[in-house]
Amino acid sequence: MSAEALAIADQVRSARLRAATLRIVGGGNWMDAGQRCPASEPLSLEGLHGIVSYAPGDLTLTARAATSLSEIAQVTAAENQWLTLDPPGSRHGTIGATVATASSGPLASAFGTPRDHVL
Amino acid sequence: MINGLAARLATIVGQQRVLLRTGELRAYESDGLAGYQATPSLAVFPATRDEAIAVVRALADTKTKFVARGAGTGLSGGALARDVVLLGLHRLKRIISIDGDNARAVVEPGVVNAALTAAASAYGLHYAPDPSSQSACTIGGNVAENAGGPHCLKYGVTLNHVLALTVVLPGGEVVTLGNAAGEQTGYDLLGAFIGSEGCFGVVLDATVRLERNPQSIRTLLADFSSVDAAAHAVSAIIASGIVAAAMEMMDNAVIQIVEASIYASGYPTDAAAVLLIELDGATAGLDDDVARVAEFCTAAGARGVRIATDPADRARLWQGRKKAFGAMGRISSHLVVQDAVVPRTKLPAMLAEIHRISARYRVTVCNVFHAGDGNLHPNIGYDANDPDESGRVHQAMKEIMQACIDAGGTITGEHGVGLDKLPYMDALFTPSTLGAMCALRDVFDPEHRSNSGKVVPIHSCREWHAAPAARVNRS
Repeated sequence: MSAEALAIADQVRSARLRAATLRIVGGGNWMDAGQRCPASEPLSLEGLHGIVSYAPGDLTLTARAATSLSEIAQVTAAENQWLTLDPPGSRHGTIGATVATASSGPLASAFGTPRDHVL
Repeated sequence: MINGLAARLATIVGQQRVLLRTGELRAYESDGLAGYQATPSLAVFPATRDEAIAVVRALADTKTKFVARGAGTGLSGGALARDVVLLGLHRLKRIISIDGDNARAVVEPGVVNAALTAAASAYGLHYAPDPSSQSACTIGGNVAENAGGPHCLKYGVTLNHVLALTVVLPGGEVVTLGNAAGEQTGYDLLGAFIGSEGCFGVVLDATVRLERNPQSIRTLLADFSSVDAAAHAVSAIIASGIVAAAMEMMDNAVIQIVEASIYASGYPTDAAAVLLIELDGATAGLDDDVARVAEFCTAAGARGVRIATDPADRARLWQGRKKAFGAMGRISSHLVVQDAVVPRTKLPAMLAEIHRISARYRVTVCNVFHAGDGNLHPNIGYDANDPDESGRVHQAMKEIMQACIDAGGTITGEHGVGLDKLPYMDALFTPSTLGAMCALRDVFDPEHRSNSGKVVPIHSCREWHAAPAARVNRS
């Protein structure tokens, strides 16, 4: 596990011991989401960034949570491939947020939702 | 005690639908993996949804452990009920509705997979997940195992085809998971339930997605003089971006067995391997893809490529593949059927490794598998009454499984963990991950009465429950 991932696990553990509430922040693009969030401290995933591995022959890619959809699109386009998820909002939205919210767009009718794509 | 329970269950389903005698229960002592046997204490067969609910509630009242079973075609020992109640669901076999316009159907758990496709064909639709046992296996069992099949390469597995489930939890509550519109609201309990191998509850009905029948279908049989060449052809086709509906490989051992059986399909018996590739979709452009796939095969070293368009020819080519397991039954009394997955790009190296391992243990591995998604089925026929041979077979399988894990793969593609794969769970998952699985099970079945002892090793759950304080420091 990367140092960044371990640091986040530490922060979650520490919050548990202190009975603190956490708010997960990925790209920070849609923080209010129309709902009040009473968390006492942010848990930034900024450090969890980047594509870990990409095997075009397997049609699989592993990315850390805060990697944006546009970065994934850029890397896969070079191999004539694409991730068929088009959630609402900016392409700077992250893969972590897309999965957390199970967001999908018009492409879902042909290609399915995040749950159909996450291995 | 068991007689008291039997009497109570008989008031729900009728005397004839409760079995107690050992001789009668023998029929249910194995699933499709006949190397394992376990006799249930009692078997009960409800015929309706209300009866099924009443049976589960009676089992809950009496804190009785049970195992739900469909057709018993599973290949991981998952439906074995050792000294516990076997809840047979094959009589719940109504297709409740088929909605042709919206391409979905609502079925009871005992509906046979192929029967659903047969009924849907009147609407130009089919149910895509097509396990080789589709002529016998049930939708309820498919949901429990998250079953796959050759055509799942293009269309997805059971998980991608179930929109909603009505489930009776082991405690007797009836819940709805997912919804028929296919939109997930709230936690994805449907996703958690599919593939839970009977540990989370009993399906009462399933709303499934049907697929439109393709306009045209082409089936190719490519004949190779080496397994490695066939594996490289698979990689080349996948990398090209052509999404085949199915891409199956059979090696020479399987070809010989199939061709000597009543399922003979005209496969070349001197081939080291054949690839059975199906392409489907709109007629326009399909033959261009067929030509490209044939070129990839030839470039990888295929001696010849046959193309079948006629439905009878296609069915004949498929027959050998679908019935390969049955054909193996002719040559040995027992069969270890394995189900492991490696990344597609590792396929050539893994097939070579399996060959090395089998030579070392002097066993004959027959490979028949879903090459397109890297889902291997190395099978070894043997005589379970020969302890030396049995020992070598099981040791070889263990090494094959470990090699798949080491290559970044996993221990089951579609058969489930059941009993058979339990020993590999520790090699694949961390204690924390197994602990999370135990915790999830607690949500659905806090008393661990539904298919207890399967999927997650018991010691993992014991450790998880024993040490709540220690969990805080785990990573």
